[in-house]
Amino acid sequence: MGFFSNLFKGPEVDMEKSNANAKKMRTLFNQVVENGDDYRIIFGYTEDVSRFNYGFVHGSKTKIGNLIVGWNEETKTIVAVPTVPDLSGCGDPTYYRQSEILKAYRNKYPTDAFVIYPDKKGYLAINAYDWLDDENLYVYVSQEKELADFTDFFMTQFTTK
Amino acid sequence: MGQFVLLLLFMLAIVIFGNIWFYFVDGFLSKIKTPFLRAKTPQTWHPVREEKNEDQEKTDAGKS
Repeated sequence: MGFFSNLFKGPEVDMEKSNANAKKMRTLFNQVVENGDDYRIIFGYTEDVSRFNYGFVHGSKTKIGNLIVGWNEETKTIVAVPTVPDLSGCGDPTYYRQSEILKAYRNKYPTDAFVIYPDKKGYLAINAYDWLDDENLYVYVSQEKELADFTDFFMTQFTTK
Repeated sequence: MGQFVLLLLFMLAIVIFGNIWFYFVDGFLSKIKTPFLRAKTPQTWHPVREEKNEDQEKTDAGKS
């Protein structure tokens, strides 16, 4: 009974590791974003899919970019900070203010993503999940409540259509 | 049975050769692209500043 219940339970979150990473995410975010504590944060990622054709071998390659995504409900601003799965460092933040962006919406197909167009030239598609069990590719963090709150903020206050 | 094994081995050889071919071409192309990509200004990178825990801070204070 115990064996089978454990077998079908599936993978479980290591909360100690998740909490340590959440703390590290906050440290990094506050390091590069002014008044970082005014923002709530979640982990998100972007996907860059490129096709290749090397003669008889062809297919597609996907590059994953990890992000610390912060949002401020008062100023209706989203901040994206590029980082790496082990959270050893981060890049410069990019600010997306609701009043300044071209459009924002939630995409359902081909992947569930939060899409922001700052202008006509480019866009940012943020993918976010409760927890992803692959430390080599994604930041190991459990964020069920944060994701629900971010989704609610994005859909009710940030989206433009 | 023997033919089936031969077919499997043949397919395995194709897969192995395909993988080697992919890494060969991919590596070659990335080497060609590197000089062009270097022209771009590198993105600023901020390494994480590790926060000292309370015990360590007390030890450091005791030393000074």
